[in-house]
Amino acid sequence: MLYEIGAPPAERSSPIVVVESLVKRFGSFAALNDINLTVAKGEKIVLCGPSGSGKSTLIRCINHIEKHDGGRIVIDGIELTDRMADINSVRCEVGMVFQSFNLFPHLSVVENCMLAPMKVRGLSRPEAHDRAIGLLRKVRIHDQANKYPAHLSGGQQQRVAIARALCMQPKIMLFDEPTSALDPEMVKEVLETMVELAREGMTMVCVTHEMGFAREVADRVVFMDRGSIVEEGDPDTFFSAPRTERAKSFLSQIVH
Amino acid sequence: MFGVLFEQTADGQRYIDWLLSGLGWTLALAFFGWWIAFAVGVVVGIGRTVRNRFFAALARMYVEIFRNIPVLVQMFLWYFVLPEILPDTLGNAIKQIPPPWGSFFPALLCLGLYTAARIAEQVRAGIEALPKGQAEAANALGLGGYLTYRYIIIPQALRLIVPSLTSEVMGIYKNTSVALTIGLMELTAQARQISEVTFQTFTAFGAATLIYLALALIAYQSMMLIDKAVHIPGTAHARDIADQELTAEVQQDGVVPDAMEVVK
Repeated sequence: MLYEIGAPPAERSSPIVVVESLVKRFGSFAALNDINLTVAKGEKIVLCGPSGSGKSTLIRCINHIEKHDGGRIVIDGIELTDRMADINSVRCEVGMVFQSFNLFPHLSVVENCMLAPMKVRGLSRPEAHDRAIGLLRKVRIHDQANKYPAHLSGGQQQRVAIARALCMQPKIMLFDEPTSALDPEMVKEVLETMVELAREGMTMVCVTHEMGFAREVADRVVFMDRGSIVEEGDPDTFFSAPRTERAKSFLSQIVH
Repeated sequence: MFGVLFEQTADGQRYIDWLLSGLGWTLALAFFGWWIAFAVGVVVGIGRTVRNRFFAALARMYVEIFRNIPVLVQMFLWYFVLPEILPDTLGNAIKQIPPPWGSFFPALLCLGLYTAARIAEQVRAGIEALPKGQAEAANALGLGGYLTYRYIIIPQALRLIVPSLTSEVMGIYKNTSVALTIGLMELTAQARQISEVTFQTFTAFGAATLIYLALALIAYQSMMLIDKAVHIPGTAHARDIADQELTAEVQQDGVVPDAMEVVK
């Protein structure tokens, strides 16, 4: 199978995400068509492809923000069905970072990070506060902890969003074009945070067009087009010698 | 010109005391009616946006019924019709409630539930105006439906609709004047009574008008203060929604003169 090219080392091999024959339709439009993807513990995957290729839809299905129409998604041994209890327990293990940050504007930065740990994980206020400050420090934004999201720059907001997701101590992090809505000079600070996270061994699935990031941290690049996985491989092979015409023409468009 | 208000009435009071007593009933009706309206309105407004078809349909039905029947007709339904359709003992018990409470409670229920339907639509609009990403981000953090509404959606939606709720606050206290049709001696009823006793129509209704106007300004200012107090730091004010309500408001006011015709 394609995705075993550049297979991760043995100690990573236990899968944490298994996607089998996934189908997602919007009306009559097939957004995802028979997708198979396995993510091993600690693996970093970069999803890329032209817009409308289904990469965002795929990661939105992984934590059930989009409901899939066919196939199976198993996260850390729990299959995503319609059972709300399963969905919520999966969501606790899966952190998500959005293109548009989606911080809660009516809560301060630290409250953004404390809400879910308190209400979902049952942490006490001081515990949640300590954890939030610790993770805000990690993304180097703890000095803004009491400000409101609207007071922060885009890059700072996105780092808060990363910290907010990490406060749930997820086993896997999903990134949906985390730098696409940022001004160019803020892209770097967010990518650095993500690289650091990758170094610590977090399992990550990133939709991104930052090819420098993909080369640096990805174990595997998955290229999608029109709702299907067209090509997979380790980043060096994928960027220097793509096998499919579709990937070649895509790379010629975005890599300068 | 308002000198007549300080003259002695037949019952030993002054006319201004009549007005103040009317004002008391008007305020009581508006204040308690508001809390009924707000509580029911928020619940129904949430019901309008939930995915559960049964609750959504129920909420929709509530809004359509209470919003589309003239408030005067609703007043008559609660006062005259309700006791008749209830079982005899209960109906008779309701008719036995001594005045002014026999008029006050139906009026309270009527205004509360009518305004609730209007507030529900504001709440729904507020919820739907929020970016979809807010609920998605909350869900992605593992917050379920209830927690997402409780901590993310409702706090933001209510802040968003404070300006348009201002017109509902003003609406409910102006609509209290309709309660005179079922015999509650509120501000307008007292003004009418003064005018009938003294033949000083201009003075009586002039005084009532000034009081209504002052109340409107107080309500407006307090809502502005609330808007400021709950304002999210660093974001823009959302006053533009209030403008849409002005048209609806003008139509609603048309009810009041009709109501006074009927009393005669």
